[in-house]
Amino acid sequence: MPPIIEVRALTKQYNPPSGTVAVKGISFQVEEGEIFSFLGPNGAGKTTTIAMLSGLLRPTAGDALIAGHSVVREPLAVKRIIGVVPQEVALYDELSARQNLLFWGRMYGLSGKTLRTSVEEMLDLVGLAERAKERVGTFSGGMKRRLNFAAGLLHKPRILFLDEPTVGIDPQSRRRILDLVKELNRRGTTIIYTTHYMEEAEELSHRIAIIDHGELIALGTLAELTRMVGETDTLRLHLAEEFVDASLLDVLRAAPTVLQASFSDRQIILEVPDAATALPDVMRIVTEQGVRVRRVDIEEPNLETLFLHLTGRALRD
Amino acid sequence: MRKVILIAWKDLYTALHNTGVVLGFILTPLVLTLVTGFAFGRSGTGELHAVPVLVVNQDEGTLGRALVDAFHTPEMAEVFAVQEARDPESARAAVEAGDAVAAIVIPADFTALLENERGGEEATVVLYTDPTHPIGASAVEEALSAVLGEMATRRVAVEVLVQQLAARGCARPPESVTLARKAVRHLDAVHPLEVRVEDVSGRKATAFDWRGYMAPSMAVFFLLFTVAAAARTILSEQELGTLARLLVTPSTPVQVLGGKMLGTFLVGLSQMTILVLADGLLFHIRWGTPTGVALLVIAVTAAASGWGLLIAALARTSAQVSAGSTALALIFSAAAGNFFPRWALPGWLRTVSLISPNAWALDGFRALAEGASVLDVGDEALALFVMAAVLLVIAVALFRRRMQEI
Repeated sequence: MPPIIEVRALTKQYNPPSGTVAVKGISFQVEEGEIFSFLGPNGAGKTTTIAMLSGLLRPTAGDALIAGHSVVREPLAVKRIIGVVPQEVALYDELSARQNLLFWGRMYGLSGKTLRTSVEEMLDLVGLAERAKERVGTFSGGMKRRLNFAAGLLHKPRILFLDEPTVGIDPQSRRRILDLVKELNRRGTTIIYTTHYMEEAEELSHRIAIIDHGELIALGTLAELTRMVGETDTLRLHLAEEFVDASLLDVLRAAPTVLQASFSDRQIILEVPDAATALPDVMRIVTEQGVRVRRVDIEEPNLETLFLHLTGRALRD
Repeated sequence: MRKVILIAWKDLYTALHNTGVVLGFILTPLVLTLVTGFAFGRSGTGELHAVPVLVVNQDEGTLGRALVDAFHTPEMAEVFAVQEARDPESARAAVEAGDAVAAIVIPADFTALLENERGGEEATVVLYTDPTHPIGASAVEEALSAVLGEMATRRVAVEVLVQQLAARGCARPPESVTLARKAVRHLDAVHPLEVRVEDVSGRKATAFDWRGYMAPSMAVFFLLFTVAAAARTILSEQELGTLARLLVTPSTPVQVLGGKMLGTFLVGLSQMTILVLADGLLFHIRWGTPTGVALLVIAVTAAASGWGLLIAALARTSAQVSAGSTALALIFSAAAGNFFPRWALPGWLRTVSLISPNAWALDGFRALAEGASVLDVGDEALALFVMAAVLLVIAVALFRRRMQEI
């Protein structure tokens, strides 16, 4: 069976010929029925890639076929079969939850009983049936995110693009959305999911594409990707300080027992060949610099380690 | 087309359920129209009516009575509400208090002086007027002058007649004076003094009607704000992300843009329609023939929408749209005569202001209020539609370029 999504050298440059190249000729395929995640830090090019695949942005070069339709030549045909849950909550605060879904359903060409049935199904699915008549402006952030999610599913798309759907919401709402994604996939929907949360990508994905500075730097299953890191360990030092001097990282990187070092979210993240061997050296260096360590975690190779290994930076830099 | 209407309907629904829109763009112009009418005087037809006048007749003769009676004729009663006062002091006090626009005081020896019994003294009628009602006071003065002039004319005519009779020997000199007086009294009795008012133009009087002028002025003034606010939603939706979501539905940019533009127009059209109907029902302001008013309302809304959309297309943020539209609305309104009569502006300003929809609209609405037909405002409507078309073409070109950047 041919892939449902086939991306060929997709490129986006703003204000050519000298402007920023946000996506640099990426190519990949997505099989029908899989959850395919884009993992990368902010500004990596994830949203731009989604925007091109969903027809919002015209590629500067390259093309993508979605269920056989070109995003460049047949954008309307593509839009009929995909759903998009944008990163921002894109709803009308002045309308009720039901009014919002009715509007977006009509924009997807639904009408009559089909539309009304779909709206009620989605309200039930995201747990907002009892709040259907209330203005969206009165909703919490988590509720808005759930409704935002529902608005992308009304027309039961074959492919759903989710752009960082859990940013800034409470853990319960986040859990709910992740469960919804799995349920949709179980029912046959192909999911393209972008995130900068490693744990989401690890939990959901059949395959993961790691993207940074507009380039696809790794692609595969979780097992394939972690094997790329090799037999290394991750040391995670939880610090009391909010910031550290950049020279500390240089010193750490220069240590023979350290492969890579990065700082993010009050943590020094180190890729080391062996945690037991590296830990004394690392603690000595850090202590000499006057940095206080609250806790040390030793982890098996994961996506964050892989990102650090490939780019020298933390996933959440 | 269905999606264009869907988007436009959503915008119209949202606007009409927005308390700020209802208060700011519908109630405020109604209140301003009402207050202006109270401030500058009510006139539903543009003519003076029931101007309060006091008359003090101290004369003991017939001519004082004749003068008073002249102000009680049916024609005078259409303009003046005349009451007789007790004495000059109370009459003057009433004018000072604003209870009367003018007071006429006929002196005690009015008849005697006019019949020349006082050896050449002039008969002086005193007129007290309220300077804060210049139009009404001026009307009283003119009417009084006309009556007195008529009285003087009769006397001159009769005296000339008697002199000629005496010269021909038909009346003896000692009897001629008595004869003249009898003739005048007979004239006054049979033909009371009156002032005939003729409207030689064949049209209704065009005395200035502030409320009738301010109703379309305020409607057009606030229309500029309304359509700019509606157009601003294009940038607001871009900032909120709903514009991008619209563009990822199976809709073309032309459909999305068309829907937003139609929504802008419908919001403005709704406002104008509500104001026209409310002005008519609440303040009994007659805008003119319905077909003419409808044509001009549609035309000015289209033109104003064009300006609002152009500002939105040029702006980068919704805040810039607010600032730009406020400046434009104030400049257009000041230059085109929204706040004071357009005919009072200098000629060059009246010409320059034709770049605004206000100028064409106010000229057209004024003509309709004075009885013009729908054909008579064809030039104004055409100018507004051309303005709308030009502005929309430019706005569409700018917006399409912007939509590629979303």
